[in-house]
Amino acid sequence: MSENKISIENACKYFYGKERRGAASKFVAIRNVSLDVREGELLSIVGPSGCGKSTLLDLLAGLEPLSDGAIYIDGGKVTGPDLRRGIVLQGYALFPWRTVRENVEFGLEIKDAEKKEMKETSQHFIKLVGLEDFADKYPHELSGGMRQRVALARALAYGPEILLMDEPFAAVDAQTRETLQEELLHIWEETRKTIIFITHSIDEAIFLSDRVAVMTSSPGSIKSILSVDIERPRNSDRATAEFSSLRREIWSLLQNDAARGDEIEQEYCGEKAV
Amino acid sequence: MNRVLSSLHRRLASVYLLIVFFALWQIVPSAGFVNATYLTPLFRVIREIPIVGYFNLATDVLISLKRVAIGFLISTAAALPLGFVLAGALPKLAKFLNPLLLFLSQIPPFILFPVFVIIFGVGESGIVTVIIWSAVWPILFNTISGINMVDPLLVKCARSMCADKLTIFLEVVLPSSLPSIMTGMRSGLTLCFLMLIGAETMGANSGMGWEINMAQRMAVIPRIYLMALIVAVVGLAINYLFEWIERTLITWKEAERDALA
Repeated sequence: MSENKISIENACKYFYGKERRGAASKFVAIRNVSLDVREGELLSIVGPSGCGKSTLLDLLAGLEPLSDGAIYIDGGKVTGPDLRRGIVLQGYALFPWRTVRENVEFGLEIKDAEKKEMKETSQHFIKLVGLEDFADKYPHELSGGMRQRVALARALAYGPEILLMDEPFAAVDAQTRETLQEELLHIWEETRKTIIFITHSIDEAIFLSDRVAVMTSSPGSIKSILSVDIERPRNSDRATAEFSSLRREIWSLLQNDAARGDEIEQEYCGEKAV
Repeated sequence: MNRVLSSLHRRLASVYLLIVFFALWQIVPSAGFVNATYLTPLFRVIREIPIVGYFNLATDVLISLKRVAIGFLISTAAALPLGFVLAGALPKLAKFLNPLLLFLSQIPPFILFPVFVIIFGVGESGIVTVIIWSAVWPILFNTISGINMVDPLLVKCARSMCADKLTIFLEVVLPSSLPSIMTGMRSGLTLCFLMLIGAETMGANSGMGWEINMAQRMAVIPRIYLMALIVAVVGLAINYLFEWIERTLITWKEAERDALA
């Protein structure tokens, strides 16, 4: 276990609905997810929407308690949020009343960093994501891609060992998306963080990751974990034979699930009041 | 030359209608289209100023403003923390209280004026209570809705960075709901002022509303118009002042709207 940075053991998450006819309805968001992530690894989780990817990330972040099972980071059990994990949420989640610099400094303020150190650190990460000319702008003055960079810089600024990213590039256009992917790889190579990257784009997952975990829906569980043995730096045209065969493999895993997903959902509706 | 004219035009565009309004106010009665006894021409209204006395007018305005300030401050001091606690810490209680609060907020303060006088006595406290009653509701409701509308993603993001509850309140919830709170405070302030003039006509011995009441009783029609004019100017001034405060506090609001458009 020592070489694993993150160790998820039989993680389960249930949500309880309102009581109906005397019984509370139970929704299984995640069932028996087990996953090990190595130090410095970039692992993607792909799955259909609503398969519990984001819930899994919330559990990893310590934002939600597990219903069953456990998550260990460096052998220590996750019990709550921790500055050793940085999070980049879907939809930027920048504070609109803070400038780029102030957004990046948010985590440092909570850490009670010294003014001078804070300024140097934020400057460093703003530069790393290429926004040094925009440091004093407000989020609304930036494009989608720039906002995403700010969110990344903010998560990196307080020095986490692990970066959790929830469909971070879903809201930007295709061109920007590819640029951001390459920038992320560049930053990853420079900082050597352990990254868990959630996405619903198969191409994105293959292009970025060392391994891809495929999730199935309702209840969310991991169906398969594939190694991406494509040499880095990877070809950005994504048309090699290896790339295509991986894409096909993941696609068919997800297809099967989509066909079965309807059945499962119907079953679930039938037994709503468990 | 043309450019100068057009820039002048752009600057004045918003006041053209006012200029026309004041011109008509003067011309229509003095040309005899309307009986000048009922509609006093503008210049005659202005000549009423020295008759009332500059000092008296200034005192009226200041006394009314003092009452507005006291009433507004008390209602803000009561409604803001109540809104924070109800929306932030006790959402179930807020839901439970909501119908009652909505019901109470619909009662015009003037109806309660006699009750206030019985409880709080004749004079200042009765008047101030009317103002507080009018301002408390918009501030309270806007504070609650502002806090309810805080983007949960931002709270989640702050939590992920280990922000404690106080930090989340001060750094996320408060700035997020500030635009809504300011809107509530502004409508509260406007209502304060309107209700004050009414309350002063009912039970005061000073202030702008009292002056209007006196003019009515003595049937000094120009003075009624003069006081109406002064009330409008002071009301506008208060509104502008508050708008300015809003603009300096909320630098990001306008642009946020642009981004949505």
